[in-house]
Amino acid sequence: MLVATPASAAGDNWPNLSPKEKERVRRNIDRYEKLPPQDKERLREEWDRWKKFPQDRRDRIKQRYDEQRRDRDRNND
Amino acid sequence: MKSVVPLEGACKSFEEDLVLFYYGESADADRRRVEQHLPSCAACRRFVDDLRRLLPDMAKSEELPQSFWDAYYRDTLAKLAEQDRQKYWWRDLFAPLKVWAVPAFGTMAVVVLAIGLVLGRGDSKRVTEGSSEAIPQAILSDANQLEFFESMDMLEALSKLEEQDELKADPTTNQSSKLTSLAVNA
Repeated sequence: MLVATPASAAGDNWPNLSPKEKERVRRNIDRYEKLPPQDKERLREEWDRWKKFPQDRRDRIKQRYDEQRRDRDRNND
Repeated sequence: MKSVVPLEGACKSFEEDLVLFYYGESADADRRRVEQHLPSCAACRRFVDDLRRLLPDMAKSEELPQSFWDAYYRDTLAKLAEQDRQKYWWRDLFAPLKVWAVPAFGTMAVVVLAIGLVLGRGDSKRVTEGSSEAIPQAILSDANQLEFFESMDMLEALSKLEEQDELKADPTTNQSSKLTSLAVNA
């Protein structure tokens, strides 16, 4: 379940993103909107599950994902 | 010069009416009251006589020679010119520019207009860029939404990443590298 926070919080964070990150967020928003409802539901469930992970596990997984993404980007370049 | 003869005192209640009576500006009722009073009051009659005698002299103006009026006219014109000069002193600054002032200002106006148009185009470009920088509506309502869309790629691979994390935690398994590549290619 998403916890509602003030809109200004998103507005405050948005300018701090790099252009590449902003582009990725926009792309994901577009992609999400085109997903079938069951896929959206699955993503939301994954999100809820992710939020419940202990912080150290989240950090590890996030770090692993970032490493893989960097490697993938390097290979694509 | 004629000697000044003071006005004789009239009845206090009639003084004002007597003056108006002299000028013929009394209301009918006041005029009748004065006319009824005068025959019986010598002081008021003298007062009216004095008015008839003195006021025409007071109204007479001293005759001035034409040279006085000519000088007065020139003096007035000079004062007006000086007043005008003090009020619009800045006109003197532009006096030497008058010959080419009109084309110069015309050119300047064109230049300012051109700069304005160029800058205006820049502004509109900035506005357009600004709109592309606008915060997507989908994340405006909730800061968690921004985090969600930032993490969406990772969420799609979350199951595989979890598996990798579990395998890494178990050093007896050596399949982590294979799973890593699986997650990346997902």
